[in-house]
Amino acid sequence: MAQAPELNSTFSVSQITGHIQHTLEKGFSSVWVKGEISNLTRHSSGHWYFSLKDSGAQLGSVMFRHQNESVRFEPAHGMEVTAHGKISVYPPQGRYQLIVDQMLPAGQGDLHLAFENLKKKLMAEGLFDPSLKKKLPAYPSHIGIITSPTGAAIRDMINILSRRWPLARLILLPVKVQGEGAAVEIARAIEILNSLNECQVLLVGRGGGSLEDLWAFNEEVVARAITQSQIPIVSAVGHETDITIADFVADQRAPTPSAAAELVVPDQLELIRWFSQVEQSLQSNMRRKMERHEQRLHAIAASYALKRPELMIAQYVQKLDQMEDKALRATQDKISKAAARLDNLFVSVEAINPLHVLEKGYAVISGAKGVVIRSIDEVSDGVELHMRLKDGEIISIARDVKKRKLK
Amino acid sequence: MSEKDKSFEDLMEELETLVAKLEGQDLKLDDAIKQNERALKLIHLCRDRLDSARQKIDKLVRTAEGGFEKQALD
Repeated sequence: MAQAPELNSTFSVSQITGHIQHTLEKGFSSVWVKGEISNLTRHSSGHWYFSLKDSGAQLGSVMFRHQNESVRFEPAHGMEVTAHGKISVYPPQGRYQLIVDQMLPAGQGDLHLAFENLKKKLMAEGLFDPSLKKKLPAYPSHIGIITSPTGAAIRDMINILSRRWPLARLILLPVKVQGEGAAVEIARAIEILNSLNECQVLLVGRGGGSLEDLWAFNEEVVARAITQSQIPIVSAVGHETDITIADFVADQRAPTPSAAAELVVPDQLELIRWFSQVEQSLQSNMRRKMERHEQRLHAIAASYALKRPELMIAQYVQKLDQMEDKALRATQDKISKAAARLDNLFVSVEAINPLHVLEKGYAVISGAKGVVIRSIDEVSDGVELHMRLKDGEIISIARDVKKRKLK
Repeated sequence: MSEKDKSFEDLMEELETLVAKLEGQDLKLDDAIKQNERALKLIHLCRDRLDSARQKIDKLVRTAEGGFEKQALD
């Protein structure tokens, strides 16, 4: 469908309408249009049908129910508005119209546009880059406050800062926060506190108000001053729901001035509690450490190495005892062995006692001189023989001596 | 630099470093005792500062010459 029309070709109505549809819908897919509402019809379906017109033209417009539910004012015939949406072509009727998705009263619409444009521009320059954000000091000693000298915002901030962190010195730089020249004054204040070079963090903001009231914080001069500040800046403009350009470029955005005061300093009470905890944990930690070392000392004192002299003596004593035992045993052995031998000897000696033989009826024969006769050869007839018996002696004379073998 | 000249932030930083070290296990006993003492002293110093703190507020006022000067505000 999106072919370029050839110069001399003839289109069907559908074809040319298709081309027109494509061109318009692509070329005007997101546009802001300012004009006066006329012929407004609120259909029972919930959709709004109307025209936007000015002195020279009118544009058929529709805002569907799911979009017009978020419109925060009552549009009426003759009202100047700024509408955002896309152009859509309706081929059956050969008509084009604006499909509106956002609508604002004209004055606000201008501001909104300016806001969107500046936001786009600064974003394109990279000013919202998270890597540009400076870190806030943990325990600031000097805090600069740029806001209106009157009103709740300054009071709230001072109250909260005094309660949470009386250690910090506050440096107030009162400025005009709305109306003609406010933006320039705010930007200048940021420069002044930077050149004073005393503050570690700046709070820049004001209390709630209308979009117009907060406008100074949507101006480029303020955004640039915030970006160029060497001191970290916390933006604190209006209420939770108010978002300004200053919020995007600040190092940190706080939803309200009170919240800014809370987040820029620690709470002394929390810190004091922390001190007590740390003190306790340090002490118990130290106690544990000491106990561990004591145990180690005990273990070392009881160790083999340190006990050695004592142990060595004990060992010697034991050895001596053992040796003593051994020696004693050895002596006793010897004595009892000797005794045994003596006993044996006694038995043997007893065994050969000739008197024992005599008991059995044998006799010992000896010559006259008392020499024991062992062989018949020592005897001849007529020799005197002494025969000793168990209980007496016979002296006799040998006769008939014959040698023969006793079997 | 004497303790008095140190900023609260300096004291806190030193304290936090010490606490982290002491919570680890690998300190020699002598060092642990020393650093433990130092940590307790730092807590004492910080507490004193908080106890004696009274917020001071200055207001910058434009001078006739177009500059600014600080005015104490209470």
